[in-house]
Amino acid sequence: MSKKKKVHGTLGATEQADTAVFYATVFDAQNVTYHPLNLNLNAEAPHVEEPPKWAEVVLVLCCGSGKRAEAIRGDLCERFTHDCAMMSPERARLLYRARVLASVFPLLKRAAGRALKWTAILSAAKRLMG
Amino acid sequence: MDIGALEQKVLFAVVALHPDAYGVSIQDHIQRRTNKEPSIGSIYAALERLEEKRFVKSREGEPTATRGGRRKLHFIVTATGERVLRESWTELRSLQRDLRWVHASVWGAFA
Repeated sequence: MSKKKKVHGTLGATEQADTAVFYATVFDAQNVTYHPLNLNLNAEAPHVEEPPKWAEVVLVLCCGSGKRAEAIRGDLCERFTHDCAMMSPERARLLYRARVLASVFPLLKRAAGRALKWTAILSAAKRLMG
Repeated sequence: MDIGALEQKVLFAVVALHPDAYGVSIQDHIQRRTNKEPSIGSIYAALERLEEKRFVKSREGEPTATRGGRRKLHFIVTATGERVLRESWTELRSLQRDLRWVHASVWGAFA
């Protein structure tokens, strides 16, 4: 009878200490930082804000793919994560959109310059061959 | 070889931030020193031009969670880049020296 009470009832001080030691061992084995007041194993992962989708699409269209494009998107994402910690998510999203729009023109200008250069090179090569 | 005003700023930032010069840190550095924030896009456009001229070299870093699992692109200045930066700085300094004889208030702005 008393055993049943122990299982289903509130834990005593000794059992709480035992549980804490057990979880400490489990967390240590998993290389996770243990804190005795934070033993809720069913806790959900913290909500992470995501940058606006359309702005990401615009970036992909302007930058294309490759390591440079990945770095640009990563830099803007890093700024967004930092802004989310400092201000409201709405304001952070607004700033992200503004940053993307400010980056679009120089990136497109650069892409157009590259395209013109290659067109000139190819036409010159054609003239030499023909 | 000539470099533009933004290219010069970016090159100075890359030298100052060595070896941790990447988009965000370069933008922060320029913003702190000049009170003007160039966009990430214009910084990367300038870095691309500098890399084409072989004034900087890039290497990929590790992906981090704050960047959505994307890698950083770190930049370092090459020997040619350092020489060009020094030359452009010397040119600017020599042009600035002439301003002493123009007007004291103008010189004060550049002191």
